[in-house]
Amino acid sequence: MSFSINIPASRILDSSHDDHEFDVAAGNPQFLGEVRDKIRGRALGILFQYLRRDRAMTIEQLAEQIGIAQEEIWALERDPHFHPKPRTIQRLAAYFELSEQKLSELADLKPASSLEVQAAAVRFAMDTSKAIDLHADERNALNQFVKHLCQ
Amino acid sequence: MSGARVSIIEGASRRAIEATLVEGITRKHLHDVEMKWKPWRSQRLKELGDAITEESSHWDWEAKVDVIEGLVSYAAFVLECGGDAQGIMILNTGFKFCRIQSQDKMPLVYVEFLETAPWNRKQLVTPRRYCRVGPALIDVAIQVSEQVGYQGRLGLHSLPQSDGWYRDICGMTDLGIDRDKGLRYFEMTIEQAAAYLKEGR
Repeated sequence: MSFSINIPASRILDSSHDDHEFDVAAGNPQFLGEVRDKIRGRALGILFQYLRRDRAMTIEQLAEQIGIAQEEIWALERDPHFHPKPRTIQRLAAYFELSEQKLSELADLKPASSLEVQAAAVRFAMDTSKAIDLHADERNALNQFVKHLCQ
Repeated sequence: MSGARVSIIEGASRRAIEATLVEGITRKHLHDVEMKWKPWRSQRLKELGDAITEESSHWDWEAKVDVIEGLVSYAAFVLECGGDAQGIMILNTGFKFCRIQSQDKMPLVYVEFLETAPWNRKQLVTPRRYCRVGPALIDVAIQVSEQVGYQGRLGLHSLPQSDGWYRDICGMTDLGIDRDKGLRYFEMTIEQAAAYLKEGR
């Protein structure tokens, strides 16, 4: 995203927000962990959104099929910070025939056994977009990621 | 956007000087941090003995830039002057929400990191090479918040040497120490943002 920033000279030069007395600094000590969690959460959300769309199902239909609240599936697909319940991951893994162990690692419900799934998740999150229909490259990214989660 | 002109103040002469605001952190900026900021700070800290501790001295900007590459919810800005990076900031524009009750759960722009070059820091040197680099970057953060539809709402965790500026001069609301992060959390309301932008006019 590109922003249009305009700071009139007077706003800085004549400002009463002088930094004469203090340094101005800010920092988030948990930044790297939060961003990695976000990427992992995004990968999980896009994965299930793609798998659902690939089967031409609505959130309502998937929720009914696996016996999980629609709100939880909606949050899982869209909120990268959402933490699904173990039962949700179990049911989704069974329904889409994926490794429950690897999905649980991805959802931060179990400690990671290797970096392989995390790395695949990062690649997947970076290679995909939020397009409504699955394009060829999105389908390819999905297939590659699912391959990791089935092994 | 790249290359917006921003006025800051040269510390020694107290004259206004023009800096350039760049969107995005380049290899050159990372080089400035590693090869200019860090050696200068190390030398200065040695001279000052144990009198000063620098919270940001261990920050790895390269790792930060690597991890946000390709993520649309992050924006980074650098203020350049005299051929060097004078201040760097990373903003998070997605999935961070207000904690102040009056704007509870409203989205805000979160300032992940804001650091100025060590020679621009009051606690390390007097006179500083350039002043008002930090305030200019906060101005940028407010404008980004407005442009993504958050009406100027900001949140950040302050480093201890900056608490007084955010609270007493910038006018942000101090929500106390955030136990998860060990730093004070400050938030800027729509009204505080409007006041900040109006002050210097």
